[in-house]
Amino acid sequence: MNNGNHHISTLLAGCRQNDRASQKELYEFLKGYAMKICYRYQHNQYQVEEIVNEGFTKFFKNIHQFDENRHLETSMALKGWFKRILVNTCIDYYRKNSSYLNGQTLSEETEKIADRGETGIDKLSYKEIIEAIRLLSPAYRTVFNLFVIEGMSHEEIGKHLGISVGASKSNLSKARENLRKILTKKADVRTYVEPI
Amino acid sequence: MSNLSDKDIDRLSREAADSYEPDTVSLSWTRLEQKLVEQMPERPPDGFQFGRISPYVWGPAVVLIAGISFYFIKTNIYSKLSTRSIDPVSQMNHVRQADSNQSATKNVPADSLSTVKNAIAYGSDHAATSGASDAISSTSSKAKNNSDESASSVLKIPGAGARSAGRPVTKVETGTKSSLNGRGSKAIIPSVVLSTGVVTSHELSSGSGGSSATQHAIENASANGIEKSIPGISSASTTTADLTGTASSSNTGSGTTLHTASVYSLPLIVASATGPAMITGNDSLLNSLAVQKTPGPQKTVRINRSLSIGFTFGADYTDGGGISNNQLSNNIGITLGYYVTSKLSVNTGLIYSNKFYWAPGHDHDRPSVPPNGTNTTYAWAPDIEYVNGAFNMYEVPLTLRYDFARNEKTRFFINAGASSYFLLKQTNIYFTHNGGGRPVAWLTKDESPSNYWFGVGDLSFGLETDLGKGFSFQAEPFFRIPFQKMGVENLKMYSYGFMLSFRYAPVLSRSRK
Repeated sequence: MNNGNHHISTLLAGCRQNDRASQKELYEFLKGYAMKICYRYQHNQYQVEEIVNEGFTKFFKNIHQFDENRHLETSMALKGWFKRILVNTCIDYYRKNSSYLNGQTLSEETEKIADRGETGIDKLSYKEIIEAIRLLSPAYRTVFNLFVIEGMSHEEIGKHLGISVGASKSNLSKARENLRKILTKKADVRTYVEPI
Repeated sequence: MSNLSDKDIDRLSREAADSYEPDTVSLSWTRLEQKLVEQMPERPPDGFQFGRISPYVWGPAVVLIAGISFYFIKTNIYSKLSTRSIDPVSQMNHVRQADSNQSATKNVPADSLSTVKNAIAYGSDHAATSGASDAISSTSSKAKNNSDESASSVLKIPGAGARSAGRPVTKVETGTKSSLNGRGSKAIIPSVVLSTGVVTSHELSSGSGGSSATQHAIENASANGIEKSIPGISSASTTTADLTGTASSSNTGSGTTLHTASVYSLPLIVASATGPAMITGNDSLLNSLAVQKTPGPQKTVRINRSLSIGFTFGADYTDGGGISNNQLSNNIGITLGYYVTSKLSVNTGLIYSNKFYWAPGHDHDRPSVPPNGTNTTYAWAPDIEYVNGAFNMYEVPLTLRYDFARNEKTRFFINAGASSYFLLKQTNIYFTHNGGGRPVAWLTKDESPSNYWFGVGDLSFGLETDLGKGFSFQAEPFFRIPFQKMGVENLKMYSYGFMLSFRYAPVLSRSRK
């Protein structure tokens, strides 16, 4: 573990010197983690990549602010710090594009998902759940991610997104409702195709 | 499925978010690198780390290190290796005082009047006067026969003889170790008080007249300008002659019989009653102190140190076309020189250099932009505004040096010639703006070696100072003018710098004549 910490510290030192080789190695180490976070916030794959790259750029620019000596587990601390950067980048991206995203609602296909009242949720894979989240409208998706997964309060969400607490709660409620529909549909399809 | 509660949805979502790993194939370092180059231009990746530090920091640091090195070599190594002969008088240990730590080891010419600084022993066959007898008896009681007195003994001589000259002698500070023979009555008096604070003691055996006359003679000698001080002698304790020898008498011609009571006799300064001060006696002691340096057969040894090898390092400011550079280039290598004549030498070397430069875009050919996330093929770049680049290369100078001035240890020279550049690698970051006014930068590397034979002219001057034993230190400001355009951008590279060298000239041969 110490070797891992030492290696990461070496990479961080290189990144602070703006060394491309160190940056590349750290990128390879963290890109999966970055993708995992940003993937939930965007439906468009190209935009996901753009946000990831933007997040890495911010990460490298501000790397001198991270003090690995304050943490026993450098890797975890670094990921936590990086996660905040990525989430903020996602929020920034959302706010930048919110003028045309806020009015967007569920796609027609999603809206037409019927509630058939059947079980099958256990059959859903994590991928399907994440893909379901990505199917949500940007406003719902962002609030849902921030509240449920990142653990933010509605006040914080409202502050970050520039919306009221009520709007945040409303978006969360609608996000859950739509997600329930999507997941139900997926579960129904799976139940139909693979009957128990 | 309708019974899927909000808590279930939240739990499933969290689990999925924690566990699901999306495919990262679509992510590309190349695209991020382009973004980083644009927003965080990297210094050329090669080169010494200190080359990336501000020249205002490491420039003075190099000079400081060089100065410390020079001082260290000069003070430690050179002093140890120095072959300067030891001062001859310092070899005369038998005449050194016990407390002679402070003694100045001057070579005293034996036959020089001004060097007379030692005790003048004189005495008299006459019986001491009563006053003198008191003094003498007092002295005798303190000074055992054939015994050593303490160097710090202070004797008071209230004798009439001493006073008779009108010059009270109240204290004798010998500071030296005296040995008194007990024959007759003796007293120790200060005869000559050296200006350096030396009070020497002398044996005196004199009658009343003799004592008075002697004292008077000394006074006269003083009055006549006879030197009592010894220039250059700073020691408070100078010479101790073993005074245990048999006293010998001599007539000074002024009615005073003086006995030199030492194995070594010294020139005696006395005053003549009728004339100026005279010197009498001999200077056998001084002669004995004088170093017997008999020059041997004269032979000249010729040492051939025509060849010199050296370690050199330094920094320079490289100008690629008029844009101010915030980086100093660095150079490190070895040099070789050979003196063709006593003043003319041929010099070469092998120097590894990292030259950092900024150059305007118009000096450059327009390089193509490599494929990236947007472009799938090489594309022509827009007009380049400026370039930040680096050369990694070997430099081989070939120069002719002329030593136009020389003093004992330092030679001043002028050096001219040409240098060949052998480029190992070239790294460039090109800066421009795209059609939307957005700044764009990209990095290219060219690792194909390029040779530029005698591509730059080399002009320098400086000084070389000997450190001893064939070692020398050299400081050499230089200026390099391009003869050719270099690199993928066809740059004219001007360099202004400062090289420091430590050189060693081995002994190639010795010949005697």
